[in-house]
Amino acid sequence: MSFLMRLTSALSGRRVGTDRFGNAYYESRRLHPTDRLPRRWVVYAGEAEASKVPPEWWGWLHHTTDAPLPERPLYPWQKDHRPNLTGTPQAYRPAGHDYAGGRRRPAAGDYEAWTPGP
Amino acid sequence: MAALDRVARSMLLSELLSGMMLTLKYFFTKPAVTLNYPYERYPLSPRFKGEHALRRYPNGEERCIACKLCEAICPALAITIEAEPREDGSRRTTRYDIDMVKCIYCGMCEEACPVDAIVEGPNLEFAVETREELIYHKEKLLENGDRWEPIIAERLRLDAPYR
Repeated sequence: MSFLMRLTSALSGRRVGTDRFGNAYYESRRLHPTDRLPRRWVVYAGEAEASKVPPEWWGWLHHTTDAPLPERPLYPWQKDHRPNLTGTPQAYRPAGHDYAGGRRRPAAGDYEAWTPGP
Repeated sequence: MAALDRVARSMLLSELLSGMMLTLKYFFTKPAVTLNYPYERYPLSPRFKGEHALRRYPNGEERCIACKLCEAICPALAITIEAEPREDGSRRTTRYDIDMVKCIYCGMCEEACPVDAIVEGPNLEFAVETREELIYHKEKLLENGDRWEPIIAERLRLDAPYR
């Protein structure tokens, strides 16, 4: 967190909470003059990367919900949030990509390769 | 004389200066029109259409029943579906691909879906470095749903009174 960010957060902001990844969320005390909404911002733990905001806080940060959603998962099949991994070895690759094994199950739209006759 | 006046104005950069003056005026004008992204975000409606996701029922069963309505309605022809009955006789997709390069984010797939399976989720930070990462298959879409379920459900609940 930069010095300027810390100063503005302390002077004009009210700390609303921290998510499970350590990102801290702030809300301004005064309303935005035209939006008539408080300004909301996030101070990232570590590198400032926009996709690090988990879905529970995403709605609050975008003024979609008034309060953050509870961080306890509702269903056992839910998975934890992950930032955008593009550019890293863990990035998503479609099935059949060379980096993902290069093999996929045949699809109905596939055509048969031509082989020269005798 | 008019020509001389015009030459003098352009030599002295008066147009440029008046333009810069306007920029300077807006620099000091309140309220600021800029936003400190990625720290601040702009307000978004529950109907905002971002990255796609396939949802599940609370018991973990995938919702999609392979009716192919989304494939039929997609104006950009971005969706490809293949289906066959599963071992238990239930009709499911074996392949559900969305070409995110073709997708125009119109949200027709979401509107066409009878079981709320395909939704356009809230995520807008899914920019990638290569094009092949934008060819989404079924596992990727289901995983999006599993990761974003809390806010997807909340957005659908907020929007329900207006549908």
